[in-house]
Amino acid sequence: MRFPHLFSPFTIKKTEIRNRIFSTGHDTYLTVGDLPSDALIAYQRARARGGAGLIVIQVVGVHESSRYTEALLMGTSDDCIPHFRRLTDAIHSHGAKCFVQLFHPGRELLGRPDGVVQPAFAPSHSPSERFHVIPRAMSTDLIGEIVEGYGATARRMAEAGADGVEIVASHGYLPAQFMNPTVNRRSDQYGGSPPEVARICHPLRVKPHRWFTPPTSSRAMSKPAPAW
Amino acid sequence: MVHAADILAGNVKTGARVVIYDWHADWIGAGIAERLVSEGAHVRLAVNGMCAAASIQSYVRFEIIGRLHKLGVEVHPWLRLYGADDRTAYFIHTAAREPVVFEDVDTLVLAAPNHPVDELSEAVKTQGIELHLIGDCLTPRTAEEAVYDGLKAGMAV
Repeated sequence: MRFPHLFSPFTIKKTEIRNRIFSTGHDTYLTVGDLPSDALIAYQRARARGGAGLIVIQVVGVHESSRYTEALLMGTSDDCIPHFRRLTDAIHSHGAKCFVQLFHPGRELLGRPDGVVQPAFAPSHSPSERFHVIPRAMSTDLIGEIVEGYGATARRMAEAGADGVEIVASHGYLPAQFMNPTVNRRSDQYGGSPPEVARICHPLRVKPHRWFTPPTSSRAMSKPAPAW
Repeated sequence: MVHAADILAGNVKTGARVVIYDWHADWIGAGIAERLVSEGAHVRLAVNGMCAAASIQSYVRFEIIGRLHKLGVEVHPWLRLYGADDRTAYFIHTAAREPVVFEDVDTLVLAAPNHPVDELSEAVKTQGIELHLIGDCLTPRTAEEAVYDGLKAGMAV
């Protein structure tokens, strides 16, 4: 057999997955009113029925300022829980596990809600070359709200039946912006050397983790990539 | 080194050979290029994007690019300003990550992001007065966003 491990179980923390076939997180734009649509549920159900072991559900916004497109799933209200429950139930009904991506884009905004450029927020006033966004430096109050948002959204996803969460720190999104000294030029407790800046990421990991305690659940952080 | 706004305000005079750093890739850099060429300058437009006017609506973009070509403006896409000295402007090609050097430069014009001017907001906040930031005071964008933000703030109070 060319791939002897492909169909053997795999464990992430305490979450056992039936095989090594993972569907990684990717945006589908299959949302209705900030929530999973019937089309998204059918899309992910098909992957579970097809044999995927783990499905990572696309990005879910943790704060109002995280709307990077007009079609983002939002996890900022308890009202979302039954809607995500339909999605996780569909995945679980075919034996797959599911994680959810917790998301804040910082300055990386693609959308134009109402046809205008929306204000963006980032660690510092550091313009983004990729989407040509000029962000406003976050206040410490806003950072606190967003950190709380990661925890609260994780709790909602846990209550909706997710097996774990992934904190999206890739693609130059908000956690990566805090860890990039050319983007994060703050002089307060959220700036400084890389170890000091890791402070912002610590609560991002800890707050969601309390909602995904062993023996059944996991959380992970995607690897930061260089920002433009 | 001068700012595009200073040229429009008539506060500065540029030399015969101009390089414009067009970070926004919108109306500003291209518009300044047209004006300076019409005044007799040789203009190189260094765009932080795929093409001049990349950030604006396509029909408008085509018109602008056509005019720049007819006027003889040299358009150099994919550039990020690195620095400048007396007669030279240094750029990085953002895709190739290689240096691009423009020599014989009399004036470097910046069409690049501004800082928000919002010093008043802290004072207003500490007074307990209802505060709404709009337009460039919130974060620099265009007049369209300023008008829209103002409309929303007006509806909110």
